[in-house]
Amino acid sequence: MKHQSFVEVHSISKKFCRNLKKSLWYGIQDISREVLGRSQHAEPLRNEEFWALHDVSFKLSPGDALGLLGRNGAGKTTLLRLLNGLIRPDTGFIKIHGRVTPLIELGTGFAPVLTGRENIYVNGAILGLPGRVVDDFMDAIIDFAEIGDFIDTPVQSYSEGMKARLGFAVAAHLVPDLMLVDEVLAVGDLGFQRKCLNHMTTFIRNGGALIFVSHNMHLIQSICERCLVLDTGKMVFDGTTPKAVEIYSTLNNHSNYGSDDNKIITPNDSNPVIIDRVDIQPFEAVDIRPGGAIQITLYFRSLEEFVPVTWGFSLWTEDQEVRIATNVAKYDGKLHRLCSGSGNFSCVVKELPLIPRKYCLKSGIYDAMTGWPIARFGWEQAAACFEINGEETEANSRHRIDQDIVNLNVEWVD
Amino acid sequence: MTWSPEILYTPVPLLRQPLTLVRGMIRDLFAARHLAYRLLIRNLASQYRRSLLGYLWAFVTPIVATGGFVFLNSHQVLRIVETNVPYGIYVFVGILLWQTFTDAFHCPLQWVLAFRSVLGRVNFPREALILGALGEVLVQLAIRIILLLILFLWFRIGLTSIILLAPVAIVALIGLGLMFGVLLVPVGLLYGDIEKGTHLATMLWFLMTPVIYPPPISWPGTLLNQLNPVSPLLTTARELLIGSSLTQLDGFFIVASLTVLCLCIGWMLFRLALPHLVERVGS
Repeated sequence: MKHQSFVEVHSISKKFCRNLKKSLWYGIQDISREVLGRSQHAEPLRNEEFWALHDVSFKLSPGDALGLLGRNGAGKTTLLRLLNGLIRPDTGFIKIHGRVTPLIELGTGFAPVLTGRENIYVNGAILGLPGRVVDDFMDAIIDFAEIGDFIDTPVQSYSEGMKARLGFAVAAHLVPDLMLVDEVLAVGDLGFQRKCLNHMTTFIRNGGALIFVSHNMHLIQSICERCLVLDTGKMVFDGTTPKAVEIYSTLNNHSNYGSDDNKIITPNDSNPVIIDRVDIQPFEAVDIRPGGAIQITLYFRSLEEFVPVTWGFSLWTEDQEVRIATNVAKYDGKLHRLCSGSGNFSCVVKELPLIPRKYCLKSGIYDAMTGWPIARFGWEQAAACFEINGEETEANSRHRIDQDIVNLNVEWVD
Repeated sequence: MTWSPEILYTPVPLLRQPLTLVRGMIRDLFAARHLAYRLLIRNLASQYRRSLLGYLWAFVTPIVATGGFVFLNSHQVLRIVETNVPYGIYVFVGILLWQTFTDAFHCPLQWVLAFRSVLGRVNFPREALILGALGEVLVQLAIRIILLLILFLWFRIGLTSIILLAPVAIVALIGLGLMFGVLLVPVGLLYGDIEKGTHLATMLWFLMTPVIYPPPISWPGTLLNQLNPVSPLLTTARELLIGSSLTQLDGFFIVASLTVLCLCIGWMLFRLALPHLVERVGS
């Protein structure tokens, strides 16, 4: 029998209020309407209200792992709270066949004065595990937590990582149908993160459905094949993870730095040198290929002359999370002069050992004696981006999925 | 794979689906038992593990308060009308019952405020908080009853058979306190004034309730007595405990019946209001 949708979310919206006092008053109004059995009016929005989520729809089947991407305030946590039944939608509906377990804040309900062992009962009960079930699983939970003798010490002396371990150890012994995971892997050491990941992948393989929120693109891509991208409450994309990551990175860039059209900065007394743009072009080729060369040209305007200066650039992955290389022109005694008016600096990077992907470049002009930056590019505004093109081979696909950056020239010895 | 029952979240008011609402209330009340027990143990252990006197604190307040009023009465500072048992016992029983009422009144909001962060993070049967609060009231009561029985033995107060009915009256008194407490939770969780206001309210209420004095027999005292729902319950409970004649039975039955009805209404209000409270209060 083909399973119907496990989770169906249809056109849900949720509004909140920015002002605390108004929010409390609206709460009284909403409760009064609820108590009198009258429908809530989703629209029009009352004073200071805004849509935290607007018209979001998707379906999940057993075994699906869905990533949720979006900047802070995009509506991800609101969506998880709606799925968890903590708050009710203002429009649409949510249908879930099965039990939901949130892995949102591990160790909920821990009493600082009680020991780890005693808190296992409390946290288990809050998550729906009766005492006798906790008794049966107690040894397994303690083994999983790996906090040793601290299990009989008051939790107030635990670090955040230890609390997370203990909380996860309890949650890992639940058998829900839908798991909601929200940034729990941010706390905890590498061993803990690996354990969490293993647990999640086993859960998905056994037919559970998972919704995963994280800002770590590596984790999202290793667990989820499908992602939603949220932007200011709206769903802007529902599809494959690599594409979702690309869209999310673009949104990040644009929103952090605004549209380039609006930024017309001219040199002034506090910023006498402005870098207008950085151009990246293939060098002696039609396009940029792995192993090929690029020419980087930095265009600047200056109110006055600076001497001696040097300049350089740093190369980053598209999401700007990994810095790949930094190169600054050596000041070798030859005077590098920055004239007043417009000018440019240029360099050639030969034999790029990078795999076909998008990259970002940031740049700067520095005082050659002190190293102080005179002007920078790609920090307060969008960085310059370029793409290395390659054929759609299996090897290149593999590189993209594995998030590789460089391709090494290896000579295999038999 | 077997499908569990379907969960459905919509904006449609729950009152328009009365069967679903009532089924959910009863289901969650049963499901809440284990959690209420765990949370009660958690709270009691947290309170008393960090104190030297521990559970003895439950004895201290009634003893000190009783001692104070007996002293004031014996030195004619407070002119209290004659009571048919030693005044100390009269006051002690009154204070014990009054404290039980105020515990039941304050506990629901205290528990909901103490667990507000858990409310906003995990979807557990919310009735566990009310059941847990009730459990805490009963634990405090049990400790005080032990003390009361010791005092009865000490002062050789004879136990009459009607004392067996006293639990009924005490349950009604707890029910009344719980009813007011639960009704206050929605507004109390939103506005801090309520929590502050309840302490002031119980102080004034104490003065208007025949706790340290017998029920008034002249106007305007009788009017206050009739308007005060605690009065018939507390008076009847005390009369059953100390074995004197029952003077406010009519009032007792009226208030007790209304309490049962209003407690159910309060429970329903609590359930309807909670999702709205969670979204306004944050975690």
